[in-house]
Amino acid sequence: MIFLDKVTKTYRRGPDAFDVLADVSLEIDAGEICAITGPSGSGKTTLMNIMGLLDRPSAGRVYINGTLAGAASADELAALRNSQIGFVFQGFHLLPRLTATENVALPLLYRRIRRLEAREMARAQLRKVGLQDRFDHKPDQLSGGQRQRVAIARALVGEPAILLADEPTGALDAETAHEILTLFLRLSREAGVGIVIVTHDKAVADRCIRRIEIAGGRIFQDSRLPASCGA
Amino acid sequence: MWRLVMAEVWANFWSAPQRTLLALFAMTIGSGAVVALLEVGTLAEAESLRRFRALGTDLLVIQSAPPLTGEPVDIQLDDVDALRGAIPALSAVSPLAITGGVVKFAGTQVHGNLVGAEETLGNVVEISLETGRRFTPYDRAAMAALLGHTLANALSAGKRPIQPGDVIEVDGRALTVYGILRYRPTNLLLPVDFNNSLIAPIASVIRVTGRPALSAVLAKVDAKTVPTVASRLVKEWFHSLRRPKAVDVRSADQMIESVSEQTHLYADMLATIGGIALLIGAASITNVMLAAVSERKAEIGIRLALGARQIDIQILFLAEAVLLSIVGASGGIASGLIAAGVLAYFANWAFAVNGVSVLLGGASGVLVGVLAGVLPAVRAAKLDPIAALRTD
Repeated sequence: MIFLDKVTKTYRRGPDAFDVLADVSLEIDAGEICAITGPSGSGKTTLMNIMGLLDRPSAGRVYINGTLAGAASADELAALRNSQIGFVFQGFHLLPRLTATENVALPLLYRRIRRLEAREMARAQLRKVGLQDRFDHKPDQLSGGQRQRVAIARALVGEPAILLADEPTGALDAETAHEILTLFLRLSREAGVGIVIVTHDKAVADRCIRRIEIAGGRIFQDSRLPASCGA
Repeated sequence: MWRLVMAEVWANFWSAPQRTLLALFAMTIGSGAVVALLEVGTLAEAESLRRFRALGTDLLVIQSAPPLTGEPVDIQLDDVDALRGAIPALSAVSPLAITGGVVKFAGTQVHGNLVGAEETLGNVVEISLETGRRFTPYDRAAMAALLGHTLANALSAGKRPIQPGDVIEVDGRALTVYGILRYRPTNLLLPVDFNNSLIAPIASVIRVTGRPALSAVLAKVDAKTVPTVASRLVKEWFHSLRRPKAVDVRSADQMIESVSEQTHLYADMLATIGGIALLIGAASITNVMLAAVSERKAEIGIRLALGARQIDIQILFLAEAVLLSIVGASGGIASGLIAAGVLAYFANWAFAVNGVSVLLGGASGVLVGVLAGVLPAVRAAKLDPIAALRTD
C-alpha cells in the first residue's frame, strides 16, 4: 500500500546539516491501523509529510500502491495525493466559506468529477460519518467533533488507499476524541483503507493495532498487538 | 467547477470588503480615466476640426515665398489680372495689400491695419456691412474706406459715433467712410484681421505706401476642385511666368491637417495619462490579490493537499482578478463617460459617446486587471503545501 525505502530527510542550516529522518524503511498495508508516536522534533510530522507526498525525501524512495513517487512533478504529486491519500488534520482545516457538502466534494472536483455527481458522493460520505442533517452547514455552525467528521468524510470520499491523520483528536475533548477514533476504526474496517495516525495521545495509540515509535529520526520500535485487541 | 469557483470568488470578495472596495475604486478611477481622456481627446479633435471647417475649405491664400537666395520676387497687381481666367478651377481671385497706419477721426487717433482691396474681395470672403455700402468697380480709384468693427468702435470713442460719409485722415490723406463692417470671427487663414482694419481701394493704398507689391492674393476654389490640387495649379502657374515667382499657398485643408495632427498628439497624451492611472489601478489589484494570497495561505495548503493542481489554484485567484477588473472597468466606463459629458457640457462641445474609447477603455481595463492578477495567482500556485499548512 505505502512503502518507504530507506528514506532520509536532511535539512541544511548554513554549514550544518542534520537528518530529521535517517534511513527509515516502513511498509503499511491495506486495512492496517498504525499509530506513530514520538517526542516533538522526533521527525514524525516530516515522516507524515513524506508519506502524504507533501514533501520529498532527500534520499530513498516512496511507493504508493506500487507507484514510485520520486520523479513526479508537483501536479503529478497532486493527482497522486488526490487519488491515493486522505488527510485529516489536527485543526480540521475545513474551508470556512464552503458548506459541509462543498468541503467534502472538493477533492472530487479536483478530480474533475462533475458538480452534481460530486455533491451526491459527498452527501453519501457525510451520511456514513453520521452528518446526514448537516449537509448545508458551514464549519462555524458545527461543533469540533462534527467538523472533524466532515474532515474525515472529505479524506475518505475519494476512496484513498491510505488515510493520514495528524493529531486528529488533539483539538477535541476526551469523549469526542473517543467517538472520532471509534469512527476511524469502523471506517477503516468497512473501506479497507490503511490509516496512519500521528499522535501524542497514549489513549489513541493504545487503540491501534500497530504502533511505531520514532525518536531522533529513526524507528525506535515497531510493534503489533494481536488483531483481537483493536477497537 | 466554474460555478463553485465563481461562488467562492464572490464570497472571498466580501471577506475583506474594505480592501476589495479599495481595489475596485482604484480600477474604476483607472479605466474611468482612460475612457474619459480618450473621450475628451476625441471630442476636442472633433471640435477643433469643426471650427476650422467653419473657416471655409474653399479659400486659398497665396503669398510670395521668400527665396533661398536673392531678392524676394513680389506678386503684383498685373499677376492677379493674369491669374484671373488662367486657372478655371479658381472661381474668384482678389488681391490684398496690407500695411499699418494711423487713422484719425474727430481728434481720436487709432493704429490699425491698412488693407488695400478690390470690390472683388466680397467674392472670396464674406463681407457683411453693419451700415453703408460696399465698393463697386467704379470706386477703384476713390479715396474711400470701409472700417472694421473694432476699429470703428475705437474711432467712435471721441465726440460721436463714426458713420458713413464721415471723413477720416490716414497718413495725411483724407478718405471718406463708405461703410462699417459687421464683427466677424477671426479667421486664422487670412493674413489680416478685418475687425481691426481699414479697407480702402487697393490703388489708393499703393499710393499711400508707394510700393506696388501685394501682400497676398485670395482665391476661391470652385466646388468641383480639391483645394490641394488648386494650390498646386497656382504654384505651377506662378512658376511658369516669364519671370518665375515662388509662392506659398495655404488652404484650410492644410491647416486642418496640421491641427488634426496636433490634437491627435494631445489626445494621445491624454490617453497616456489615463494609461498611467490604469497602471496604478492595476498595481492596487496586484496588491489586494497578494494580500489575499498571504491571508489565505492555509486554505491554499489545504487545497494543494486535497489534490488541487497549480492550474486550479491559479484559476481561483485569476477569476478573482477578472471579476475585480470587470466590475472596476464597468464602473470606469460609466464614470469616464459622465466625466467627459460634464466637461463637454461646460466647454460647450458637442457630446457623443465614442464607441472606440468605451471599448478601448473597457478592454484595456479588463486586460490590465487580469495581467495584474497573474503574478499573485502564479505565486499562490507555487506555494509549498507544507509551509502553507503550517501557517495558522
